[in-house]
Amino acid sequence: MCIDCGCALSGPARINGHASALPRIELPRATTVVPLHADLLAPNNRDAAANRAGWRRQGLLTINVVSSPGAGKTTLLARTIERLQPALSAGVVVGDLETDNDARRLRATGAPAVQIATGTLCHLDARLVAEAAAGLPLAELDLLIIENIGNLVCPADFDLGEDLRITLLAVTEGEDKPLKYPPIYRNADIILITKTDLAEACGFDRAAAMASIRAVNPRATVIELSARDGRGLDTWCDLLRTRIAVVPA
Amino acid sequence: MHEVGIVQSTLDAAAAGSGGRDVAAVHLRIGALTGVVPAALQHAWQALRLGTVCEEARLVVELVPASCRCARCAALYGSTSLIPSCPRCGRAPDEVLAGRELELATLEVALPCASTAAAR
Repeated sequence: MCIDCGCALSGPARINGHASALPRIELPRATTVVPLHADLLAPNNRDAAANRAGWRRQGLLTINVVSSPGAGKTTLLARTIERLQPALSAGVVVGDLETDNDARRLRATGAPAVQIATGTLCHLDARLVAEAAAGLPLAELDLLIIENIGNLVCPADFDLGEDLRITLLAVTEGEDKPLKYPPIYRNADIILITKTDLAEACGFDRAAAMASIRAVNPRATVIELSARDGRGLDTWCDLLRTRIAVVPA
Repeated sequence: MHEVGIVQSTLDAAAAGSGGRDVAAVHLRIGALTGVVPAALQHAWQALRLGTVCEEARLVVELVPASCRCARCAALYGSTSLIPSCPRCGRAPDEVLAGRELELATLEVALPCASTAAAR
């Protein structure tokens, strides 16, 4: 053992090539503290800031759409793109673990869509989205839509460079979803209550849902809509038009 | 769960910050509002640190309480809940001043052993 710093032997002592019968003495090694204060999300945040600056320079409004799987993101986005056409053009980056089914559904609207199949990665990060978005004709678009992976946990902390974060709550999910998954609802600019055509059938308690949304996010704009019967879509699309109009060209 | 990703980022930053020296401990500051699960961090740490300068290192996680402001009451308050609310009026925070941290605060790195260094 070293008498200078008190470090333990790095392995069992050897005497003439044989392990010593004496047990290895474990003592804490002398250490020094190195302050780093490094933000662990800094690499992603840097990429996101670069995305945001680049997309704004190109005159795009960018939205990041998050929800649990099956809350109705793809159907809502397809109907949204159709309503905004032909005055406004949208392009989509869509993430899933596997398949390009969602990209194909969105392309049926005529809009360009790039699928990211992440394999097992549970969220999109800013670099992945930048690479995928480069495959879209960005100069011809007004709206860049990022359909995130269906997941209410991980996407919450990852800024992609969007202007608006949109979180969905389907009436079929239960009114207390925001209380169960607070970060993703807390970070939303707009919360869309989807599938309202099913509200009655599943006994959706609108007041309870609003209370749980407001418990985690007092500021977000809340819009109730149904992609199937169209109610609420005008309000939603008008909001997008208004925001696109104020993007500096 | 992105605890694995957080641990990988931690290992990358620790490798860069340690100057190649063995790391004895890594201190993280994790905000209460991030939803990160400390036990899952430790689990990922056990697996991912192998073969890195952190192979022998402890992971020490400090949970940072949320610090919030209520616009209605003009009150500042702390909370360790994932859903903070004003203790006076029950309203959700209008502003979050702290609680979203994901920070590698400090490393404890091993000092070179003076007697072995002298013997070289």
